[in-house]
Amino acid sequence: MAKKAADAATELAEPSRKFTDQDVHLGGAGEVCLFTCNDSIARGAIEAGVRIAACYPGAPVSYVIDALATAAQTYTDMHVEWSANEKCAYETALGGAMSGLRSLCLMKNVGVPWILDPLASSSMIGVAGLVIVAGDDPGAETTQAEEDFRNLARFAEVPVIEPSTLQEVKDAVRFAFELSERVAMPVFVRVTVRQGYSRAAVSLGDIDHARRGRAAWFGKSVINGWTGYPAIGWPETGTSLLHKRFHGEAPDAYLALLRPEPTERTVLAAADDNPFNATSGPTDAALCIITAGFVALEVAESLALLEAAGEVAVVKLGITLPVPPRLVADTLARHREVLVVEETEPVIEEQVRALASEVPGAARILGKKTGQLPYSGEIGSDILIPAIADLLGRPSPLAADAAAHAETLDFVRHRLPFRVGGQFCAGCPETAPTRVLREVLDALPGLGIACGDSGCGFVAQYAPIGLANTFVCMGAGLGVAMGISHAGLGKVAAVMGDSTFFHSGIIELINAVYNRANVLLLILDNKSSAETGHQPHPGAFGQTATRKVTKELSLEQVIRPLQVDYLKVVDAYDPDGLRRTYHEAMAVKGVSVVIATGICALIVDRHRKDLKQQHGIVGAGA
Amino acid sequence: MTGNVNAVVVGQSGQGAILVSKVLATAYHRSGLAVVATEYPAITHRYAITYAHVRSGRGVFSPRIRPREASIVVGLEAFECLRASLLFANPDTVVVSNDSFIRTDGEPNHLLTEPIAVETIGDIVAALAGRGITRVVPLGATRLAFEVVGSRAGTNMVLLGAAFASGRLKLEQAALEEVIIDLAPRDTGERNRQGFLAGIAAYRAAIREERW
Repeated sequence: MAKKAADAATELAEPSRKFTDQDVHLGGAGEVCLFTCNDSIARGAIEAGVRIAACYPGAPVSYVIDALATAAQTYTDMHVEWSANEKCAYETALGGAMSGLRSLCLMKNVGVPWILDPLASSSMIGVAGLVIVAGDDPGAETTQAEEDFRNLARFAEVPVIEPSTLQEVKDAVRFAFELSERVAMPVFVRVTVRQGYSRAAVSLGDIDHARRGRAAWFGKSVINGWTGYPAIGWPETGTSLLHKRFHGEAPDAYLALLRPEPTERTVLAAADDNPFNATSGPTDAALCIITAGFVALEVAESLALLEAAGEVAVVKLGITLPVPPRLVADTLARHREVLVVEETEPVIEEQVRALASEVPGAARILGKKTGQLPYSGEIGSDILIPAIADLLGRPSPLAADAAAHAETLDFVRHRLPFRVGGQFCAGCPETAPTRVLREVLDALPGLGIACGDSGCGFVAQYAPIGLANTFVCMGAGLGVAMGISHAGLGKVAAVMGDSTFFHSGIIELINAVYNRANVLLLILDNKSSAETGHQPHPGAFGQTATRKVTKELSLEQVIRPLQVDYLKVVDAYDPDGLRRTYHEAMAVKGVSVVIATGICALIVDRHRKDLKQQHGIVGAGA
Repeated sequence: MTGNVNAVVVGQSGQGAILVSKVLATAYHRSGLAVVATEYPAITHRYAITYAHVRSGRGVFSPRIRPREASIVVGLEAFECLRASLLFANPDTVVVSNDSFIRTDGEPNHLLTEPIAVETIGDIVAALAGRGITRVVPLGATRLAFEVVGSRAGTNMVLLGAAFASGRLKLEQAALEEVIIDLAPRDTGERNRQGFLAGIAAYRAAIREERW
């Protein structure tokens, strides 16, 4: 195992080339490259002179770290890390920004809720040069929740930039650092999963080496430092004072003591003079489309197909939280109808509706709330074209195709014998542990409930294994299992991967021990964050994102001091050993932990192919 | 926008649909042609459907291909090719499909009432014909990959060759060959190029038999 692990470590350290194509830091200004979205994000950050970058893996933005880690081999002053979870990633970037360095963190849409506490607690303190790139998932294609993180940005009053083309993605990431410094707040850049997995030509800019090379500094001060403290005993002090400053409510006497920013006034002004705001089409058109982000490309495509670019105005917003108030008010005053096109929640639409109340004779506002567009799923031109054609009072050129497509969908639903859910790869070390656990749970008296979690083990919920009966979010399996056990339904199993254990499972386990839960935790220890592309983590081979040697945390040694009632490490490829172990573990009242260890089969396979190549053996596969 | 390339590449995860997308996008880009592409990776879901959309031409903004607007569908696995072709093909679309299946487990389609037969490539061709999609070219791509590339992993390049031979990609052969050599993993470039060439020959042979 140790030899195998040492060999495989080299595979894990090699950045994936699947969704990041090249050494993005190498191209010179003016060069046009075919980029992925991840390349564009990474290049934008490099051009901005980013010094600190942190991420917990998650679609569609985690490959940015691969590109930045490669850049960090050249620009050795950059710190690039895989963090244990999103909160760690945000806080690392926050600390970097507090030290005067441009800092970046990245996360999937379901990662954003993990940073809400530090985000909301730091959005008003005046930190600058801090950018969060988050990937939303319209249609819930790669995550478990079709949520719109812009609602969470609104919770913390943090601005959101939405680029559309990959050129804009690169430029917007660079610009986001400047905006963050202007408004003295963290700034989100929103990409979506469709955009995140796209490729297009991007023209490069120059790299701000001077900005990256700037020395760190740290200002220590209570009132102008970084301590968000509560207003104990006097409402004009502490964090509430910062909130008052933001909304222009702070007493002048205090304003003289505070940094001038952040203020809502500056943020709104920045939204209006944002370089990514763009208008096109006739200014006196009856119909105007307000849009932003990737879906703006679908609007352009729809108008081209309808040959309606000359009769419909388009206002593409660069910042969507807050929307540019002057631009939107002007738009509402100019046109008879405004269709708001955005993916997932009506975040822009609601703001436009609110602004309309202040505009005499404002346009009629259409969108999700009026039923023209759906809340759920990706919004493609196949949805937009009929909606726009209807507003223009003409038939949709896609009508016949739409009818045929609807009929085909009906055919697929009722006549096509497909299966969903996928399954484990051949040779996967998670197959036997999950399959045998289901077998043991079914053989024992009781309900045999198992709670699932994120990661590759997710597929064990499907037939034929059918292990997990619940799946909520990262780390939740053990917590939910605890609740079910406390409800009196016997010993309940939970299953999670090694990366999830370090992400949040460890806290759940501490809670289980403390509250005397009756649970069995199975940890699938495959030595990587395999689901998202084999990123390293604190328990995988002792490698950092930038391929430096670090400490490898042993799951067994981390868990043993937590005083669980049963702990055993088992070979993931030993079904008899697993069966015996599960029976022992289920017989113990209290918290049982079983660690099933086996390196991800894809890592082993990749290593085998590399060895074959080294030895000149033909047939290593493509 | 008539005459644009709207290529759908589909297979199961791990079959190399993303690599085909990357090869195509790079070939268009290096040829000085406008290109946008987007991919639908299956992430952890081994044997789950994986798509790529590659578009080139005038008036192309979004990388997403609308339903029934693919100019070509490249199917790395027969059943997924059927599913994708039902959604994206029209009677003019060329469908190049592997004749091999990868049988999968998973949750069944719970709405299924009158299942059609999908056991053989003949079933797939018949099912598509029943929906008006008749320009379907089935190929023994996996067998060819074993023979020419030395691994089933070369199936994607065999089918890319067939797609090129259909004339729907509007690329120069040399441009594709160069990109295949450059992007193929490890030392597999030349063997993948041979697979690509074998795909071209196989398509042409199949067309001679079909005579359309």
